[in-house]
Amino acid sequence: MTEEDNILIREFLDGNESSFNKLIRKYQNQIYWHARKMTGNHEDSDEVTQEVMITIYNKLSSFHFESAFSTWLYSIVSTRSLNLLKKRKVRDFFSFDDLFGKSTNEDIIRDYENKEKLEKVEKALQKIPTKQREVFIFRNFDQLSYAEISSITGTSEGALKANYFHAIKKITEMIDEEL
Amino acid sequence: MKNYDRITKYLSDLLSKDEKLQFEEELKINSELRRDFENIQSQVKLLAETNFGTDETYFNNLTVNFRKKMAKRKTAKQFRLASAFTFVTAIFLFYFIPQFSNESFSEKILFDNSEIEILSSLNESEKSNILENSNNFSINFKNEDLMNDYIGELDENSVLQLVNNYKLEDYFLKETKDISDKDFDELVSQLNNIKL
Repeated sequence: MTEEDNILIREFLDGNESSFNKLIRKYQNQIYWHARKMTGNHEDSDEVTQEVMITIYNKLSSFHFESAFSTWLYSIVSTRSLNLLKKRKVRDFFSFDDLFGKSTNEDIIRDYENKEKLEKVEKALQKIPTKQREVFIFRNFDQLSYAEISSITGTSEGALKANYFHAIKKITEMIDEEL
Repeated sequence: MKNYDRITKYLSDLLSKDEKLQFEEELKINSELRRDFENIQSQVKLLAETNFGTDETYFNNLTVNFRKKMAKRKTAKQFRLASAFTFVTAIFLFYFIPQFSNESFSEKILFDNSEIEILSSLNESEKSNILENSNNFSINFKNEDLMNDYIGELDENSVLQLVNNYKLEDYFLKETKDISDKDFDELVSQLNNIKL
């Protein structure tokens, strides 16, 4: 998997644009869904996904093949998602969306039932603090180990474990309350 | 749920090695613990799910949309660069061109105290060197007395050179228009006292 990524990266750096498309197609779902779980809506996750792709395209020459490409990619996704959440905090502070209703309802989920299910999940995830949410997503959705998450986020494994513990506690409590 | 804390600690990898082994052994024989564990695990898994029947055209068009965004950003960057260049050029034209035209690209020697100090510290050859090249300069004196002093210190040849190079008459008419008649007379008399 890593070797396949490295071949595609080398090909892209040699000027083969289609290798970049192949690389992106391989990871685009993971990028989108990580961002979606972090931000809780399609509009923001689409923005994060596009930004991540642009960053990868522009910075791939600085990838030194020392770590796995996926680790490098996740560090970009994580940073971009957290940046967007910070930006959104400021934007929401000055926004009139709450008074006049949100401007877009665009989504990639077509089925109403699934949409409702996803909304519940997103609502629950948005209620837990950002750092705890991030660890929870990395562990459960991206299936990463604490060591990998630690190298991506720069947080110690102990702190990650504590964050994950609190995340699970809050999420299960919330689900129990709803039921 | 009495096993709640142990289960969440186990899932978070917060139990020690011994506690973890003990928990796993208990999980095999304790049906209540197993039920609670499976319950929490299913709740956690539900939140990690991504199978929501997504519209695949979004993912199919992602690379195309990303390239469009890149092209748009490139155009915006070029526009910003062009704007910045225009702005800098406008400032350059506004501030520098009038100065060049007024002074004919000449340098200014400001006759303030520091300039006089520098001039007085020069030896004769250095002074004459400055005077030889002085046709490139125009004198813009702030203090007429200091200028008088300076001219008074010069030898005859240097003053002649100065007069020739500067076309002192024209220069005086231009530069002395703001000084009083009395000061002007004094300046002329001082110059007359120097044997030209």
